[in-house]
Amino acid sequence: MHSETFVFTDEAGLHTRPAASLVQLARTLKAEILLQRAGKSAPATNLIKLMGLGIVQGDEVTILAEGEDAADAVRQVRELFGVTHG
Amino acid sequence: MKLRDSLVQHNSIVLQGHANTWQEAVALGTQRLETAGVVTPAYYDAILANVAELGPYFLLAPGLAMPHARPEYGVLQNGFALVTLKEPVRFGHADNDPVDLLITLAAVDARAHNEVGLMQVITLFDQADSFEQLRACRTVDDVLRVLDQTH
Repeated sequence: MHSETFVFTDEAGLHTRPAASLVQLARTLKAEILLQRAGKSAPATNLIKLMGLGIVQGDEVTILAEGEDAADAVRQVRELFGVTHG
Repeated sequence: MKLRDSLVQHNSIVLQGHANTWQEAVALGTQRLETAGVVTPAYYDAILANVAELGPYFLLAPGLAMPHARPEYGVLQNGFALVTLKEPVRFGHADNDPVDLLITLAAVDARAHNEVGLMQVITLFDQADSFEQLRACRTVDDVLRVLDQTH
């Protein structure tokens, strides 16, 4: 299991377009990826569950990845959200 | 604004509608919102421009689209439209085509969009039953019964 926590900086929160981009990315990766906020988690392949996390600017969000290439998966998700350092 | 209240107040429920293309399907919802004074015609154009630029990213799940655009493209007040289609249309989405449920979302600012609009749509469709229940609706009262069960 690889994980990384970051502060969500997009002022619009996790809105439809970036969430849809995450789903697209997650579908190309072999690892199982979860996004977690305030104890609630959602599979990165499920747009409705992701948006149901209600992520807004300033939230602490954790990326969890398990399976093949999990470390790389965490890195790719982090980069999608524009987080440049761990 | 509550989803249920908007659909009643804006007369913005279209059931078993007919559309030959996804553009016509989007128009079924936006036309109701134009008539109700929720959006100007620019909103429909902005939704189409969004898809042209970014692809159909607002297909939230298999069969479900949530057409929307930014507040500055003709949103006059917060509101929703709900459209079900007799025959589904295709947006050109890898996973979520074909679509026969559309919830059009119009919000006056980003905060209303996220906190008021989006979360109501997400809460409704986070329940897997909602898809089939809405598809089965034939009257406005049917829709309101579904919405009243799920919040």
